[in-house]
Amino acid sequence: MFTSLHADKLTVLGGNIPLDGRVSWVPQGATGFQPSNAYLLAEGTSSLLVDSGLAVHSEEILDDLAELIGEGGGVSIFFTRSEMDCVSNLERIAGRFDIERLFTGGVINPFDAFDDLSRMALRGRRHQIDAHRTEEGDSLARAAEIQIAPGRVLQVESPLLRLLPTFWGWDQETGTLFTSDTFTHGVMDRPDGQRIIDSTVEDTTTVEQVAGHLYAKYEWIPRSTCEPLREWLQDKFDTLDPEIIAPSRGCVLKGRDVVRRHLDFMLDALTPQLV
Amino acid sequence: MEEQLVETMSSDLPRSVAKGVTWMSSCLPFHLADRVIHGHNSTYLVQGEHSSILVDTGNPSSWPIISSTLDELLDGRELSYVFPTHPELPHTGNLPRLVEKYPNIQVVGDIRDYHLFYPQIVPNLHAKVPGDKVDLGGQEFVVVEALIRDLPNTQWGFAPGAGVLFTADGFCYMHRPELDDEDPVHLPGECGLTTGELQVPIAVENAAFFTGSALYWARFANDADAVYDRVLHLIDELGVTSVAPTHGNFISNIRDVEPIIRAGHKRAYRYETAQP
Ligand SMILES: [Fe+2]
Ligand SMILES: [Fe+2]
Ligand SMILES: [Zn+2]
Ligand SMILES: [Zn+2]
Repeated sequence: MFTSLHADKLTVLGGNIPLDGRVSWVPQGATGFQPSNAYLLAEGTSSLLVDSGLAVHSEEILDDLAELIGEGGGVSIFFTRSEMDCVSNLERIAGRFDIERLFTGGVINPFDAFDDLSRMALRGRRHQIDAHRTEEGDSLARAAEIQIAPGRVLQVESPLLRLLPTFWGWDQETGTLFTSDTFTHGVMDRPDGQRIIDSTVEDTTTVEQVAGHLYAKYEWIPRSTCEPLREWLQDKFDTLDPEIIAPSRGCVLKGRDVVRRHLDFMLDALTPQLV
Repeated sequence: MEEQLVETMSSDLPRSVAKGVTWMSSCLPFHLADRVIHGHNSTYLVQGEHSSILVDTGNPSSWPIISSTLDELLDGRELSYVFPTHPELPHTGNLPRLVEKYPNIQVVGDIRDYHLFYPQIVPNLHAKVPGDKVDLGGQEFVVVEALIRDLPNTQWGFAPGAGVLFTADGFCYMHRPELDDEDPVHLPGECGLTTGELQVPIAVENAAFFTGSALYWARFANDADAVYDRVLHLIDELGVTSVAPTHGNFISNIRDVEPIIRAGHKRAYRYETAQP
């Protein structure tokens, strides 16, 4: 089931991951359900999907996509990471819809994961967003822009806070920052729980929870020099002042107060001696 | 830059590198303005008297090469096990194809998350933890904790009878000082050479650049000595004689290579003062 986040401009799709000890990116002993997210940015008749969700949820994601863009409709895709939690539905989506453009980083072409001839036909639709790497390999200053439709762009950059090659997206129109595998800490008690944390829900998030989720994947944070990461993050949020944090998994964080509260949790989690 | 991302197998491979261990690597050629360079994407087959295990699956674009090489090496027998070191495409991308080809295959290792990515192979998944052993008949495969890793569900493996430690993305490096690419690369003609056979040895700058990119956290964590001391301890404890990374040449002289990788890892750290 999909949920609109901003009129007809931004929708979140995806299913839930039961936290039952079989998931590596959550703290040990975590329970409940974690949303897995793909986002559809729309402008007029054009759409851009941010990540593709998990293969285990492919049926619901594809059915939702059909409802939103029409059966067999055209869609572009932007992968925030080439990791399996973002890319594992690519082949299924390509089988049912027309992938107009695919934006991804790195040297591996995700279309090469396909069998047969279709991959040759699709190769030309790939745009490598990190074709021009910076000298130092640090964060790119708004290096790339993806045009969703004339007048509507998604700005893309490589964040300083990352594990593997990763891109964040910024959609000014809806004030949404796509943060990939950070800010993933929002989980639900029940599968039909509230997958959006906004001012209407009681927010029980704690800094320990935020740190637990961050360190589960970013194991190196507690033994690292984190000040540059805090500075970068603070500066990013000061500059953009996002209204929505949209991670690849975990609850969507919506509303400026909620965003600021969760930024503070994250800054504290990046100060390991405080946690 | 022309994009030509089809992997090829050098005629020097597959190659037997230790008792019962075959290096099967495919190479991804990158066409630069003035030259062609290669990136290794290796898989290793460990064979015993009655069973075999494939370490990492290779990238899906190299499936035809891997499939026919397996036919040749297994000579009509089934592949019993596959050990994916961690769920990234070059390491696990062929799991669905392997299960199709060998329906009884057991996927062993830290199999967390795989049910979400590949729901169709759930019956083939068999969780293992460090210390667990797989008996291949006169040859064993032992699961080992990954001491250098990117994803939390990375594991290393060891074949005691052959003395080979399989390190996934650990010890992946390029060795050409004049190349500045961040992937571990080599030149055509070097695809099947071990580090002991290479004409040009690895340089610290190369190790630093690669480590800072592929193991991005090395720029924030100033603990290379602790990490590599643990690795050396493991090498002594297990009796490792050679190291088999997924990307990069097979390491036949680990004692010579380790100090260079360690120095490169140290140099990847970016900040003057460590945290209090
Ligand atoms: Fe990796
Ligand atoms: Fe790799
Ligand atoms: Zn790798
Ligand atoms: Zn080669």
